[in-house]
Amino acid sequence: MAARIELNSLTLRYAMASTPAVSGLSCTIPQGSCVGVVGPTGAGKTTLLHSLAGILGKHHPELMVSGNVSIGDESFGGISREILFPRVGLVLQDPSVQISGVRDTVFEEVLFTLENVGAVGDDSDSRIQLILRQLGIEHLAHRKPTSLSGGETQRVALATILVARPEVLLLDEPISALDATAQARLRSILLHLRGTTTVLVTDTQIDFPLSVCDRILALDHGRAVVFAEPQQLLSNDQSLPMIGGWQRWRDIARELEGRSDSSHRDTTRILKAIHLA
Amino acid sequence: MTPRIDISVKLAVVLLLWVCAFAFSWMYQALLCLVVIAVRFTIPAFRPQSQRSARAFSRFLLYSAAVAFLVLLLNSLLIRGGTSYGTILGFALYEEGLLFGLRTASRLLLLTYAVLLFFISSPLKDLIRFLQTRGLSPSFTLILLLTLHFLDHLPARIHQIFLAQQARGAPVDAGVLARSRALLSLLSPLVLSSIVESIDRGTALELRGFLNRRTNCEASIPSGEGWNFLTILILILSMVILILTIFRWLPG
Amino acid sequence: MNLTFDNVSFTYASDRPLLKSLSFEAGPSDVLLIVGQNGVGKSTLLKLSNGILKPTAGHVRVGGLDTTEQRISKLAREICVTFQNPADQIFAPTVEKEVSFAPRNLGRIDPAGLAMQAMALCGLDSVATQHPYDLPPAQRKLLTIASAVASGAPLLAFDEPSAGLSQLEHRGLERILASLKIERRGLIVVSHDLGYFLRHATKVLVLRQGETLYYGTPEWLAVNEGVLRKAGLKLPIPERVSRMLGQRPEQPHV
Repeated sequence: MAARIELNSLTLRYAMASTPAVSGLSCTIPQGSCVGVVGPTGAGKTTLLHSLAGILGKHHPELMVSGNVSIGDESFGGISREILFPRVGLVLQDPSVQISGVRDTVFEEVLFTLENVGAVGDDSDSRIQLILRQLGIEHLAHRKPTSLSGGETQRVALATILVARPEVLLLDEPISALDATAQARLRSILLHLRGTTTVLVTDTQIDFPLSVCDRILALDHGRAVVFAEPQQLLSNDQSLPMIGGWQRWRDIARELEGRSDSSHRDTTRILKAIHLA
Repeated sequence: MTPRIDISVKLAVVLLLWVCAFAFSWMYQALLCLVVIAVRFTIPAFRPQSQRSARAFSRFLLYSAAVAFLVLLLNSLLIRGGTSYGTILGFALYEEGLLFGLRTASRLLLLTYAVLLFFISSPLKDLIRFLQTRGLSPSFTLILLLTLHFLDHLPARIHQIFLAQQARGAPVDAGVLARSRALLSLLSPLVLSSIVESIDRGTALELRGFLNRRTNCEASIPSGEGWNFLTILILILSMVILILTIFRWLPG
Repeated sequence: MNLTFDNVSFTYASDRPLLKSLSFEAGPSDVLLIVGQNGVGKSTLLKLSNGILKPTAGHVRVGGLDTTEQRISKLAREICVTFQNPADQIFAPTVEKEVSFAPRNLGRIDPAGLAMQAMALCGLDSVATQHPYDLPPAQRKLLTIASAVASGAPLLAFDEPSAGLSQLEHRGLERILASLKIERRGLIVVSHDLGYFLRHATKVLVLRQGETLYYGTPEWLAVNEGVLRKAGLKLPIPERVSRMLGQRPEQPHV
């Protein structure tokens, strides 16, 4: 079951840093939605994800925190100081480090997660098969996890997290090393998760989040610049030069607004048409 | 699929061979060495896990045999006593030295071959998993796993780094002096990237709930996984041989 | 100074052929973009370019020198290949030392000057004295590109240079591409980032199953997306929408 995420004036500052990594962040991420967190390098995207997963609080006890985070019904005084898996799953930017290397097959690699969380039972086999099928990697079940391509490795890494049925799934720059086919596969996986899992995806470019996310949260120097639906984002007058690809999409949206044919007005419909083509 | 023997059985076999290395005379030790080599080629569960393991076994076999021969020769030449069996380059070979050398060399070979047989036929991951089910802490297991991963990928990493630096003009195919200057550019990326990657891997394992494994895992261990009957049998045999050996050593 | 592949084929030992009968050329001011699905042999092609691998058939020539007859260290003076993972090459304690490594090895005049120039182009001059691992991953990637630029080689080859770069680093990459054009240095880029590099490429080589599917101009390719689909590729969404709307391709910002 997906969880709602609430951020209330969240500010995170590392002990020796002069400026906060995240500053005064407030927004509500509805349960089951997919939110794209976009911004340049150093905007605070990874810091935000790591704080939600609990790894930041655990590894940096000296971190100065104000404001707070709520995930579902649980409110943390600040951020969690413990890793929240399996409630919150995080896939790191380099999925190959997520492959433990302690199991000989993809199937066993996914089973490894169930062992860690004490969820091995009579239904484990079918649970793993289902996840592999949903991610389109059932044919890799008996392959060595370290012998896969970048896109396949990422889906295996996803499987190792999703098998635990997290309420929240966090993906840190998942498409940076993927080709177009692998990106399309990831897109369909995220669309399939809508409603059942709350998803946050970070990216430095806006193309992928625009195509799959319900809302976009733009960060710059740790601050939220905008939190809006894709169509609102493209139609408002705010300038977002720090976001890769934004200007291009803004020009496309303006072009569409100028067209008399009403079937072309809705940028979102155009995006969907492209994906189906 | 290669039939697997429980790893505890293999560990027990290693222990048994080690006990035999101290219990029996050099002739039986030499015979057991031959048995170990025969087992490597005949019993499927003791066959090498990979081509790399098979090559490693052959190499170690030869190196240890060479070392054992050297030990034999040196002992024969240096320990004087008993009959002289001839000379080599003006140095006499003595019976006592020869016998001592035979005992030492055969013991060395049996100890080495026993360990070799275990490691070439048992994935280290299985060993670590076995240790974990016997109470090894998740944190220590994490360290072992990360080390294992580093060693597993070491040859490939070195090769990648070599190619990357060569492509930037590093003098890795020049003279000895030039190559020694290039050494830092080969070792440094290996060390730096290994440290960073180990941190990332450790984090990734934590993010999959690994450090809570011990608490959670007891419910996950399949029922019936206790001590293997064959393991217990072999351990008992080892104890018996050890006790008999001690009895022989005691006066009377 | 040209890189020439003349009917080149390559097979790894005991495997089926990976690359078959490739012929193409990259010369001064050229930007040759090589695209294809993962596993098609793009990285192998780069290793053939600088002599790390030798072709099983055909000839690879760098400035007229056959790669099978030259030492790799000699070929590195003419073509500098940068692989995908910065961690494979970063070793120095400062950014400046890292960038000046290649020109020093290759005996260039004023390696420090070449390094400063390359760092300024990439926007790394402000972090010249920092340890490379103190930089974020995107800047470390740019560091490897700066290092190749500083080598002074007339030909450069990059494997996925834009992967992981954000807007700021993309601008650094733009400046590098412009500078290479002015200096008449050739560039070979292996990338799946069609949206970025199609605008800059002067030639495109599309590979499918190790063979040439298309070798020609990017303009023709942009209006014949069917060729890309055959190779298992697609134009990026903004480009496809732009074409639907009849917009002109975006010009690079320098």
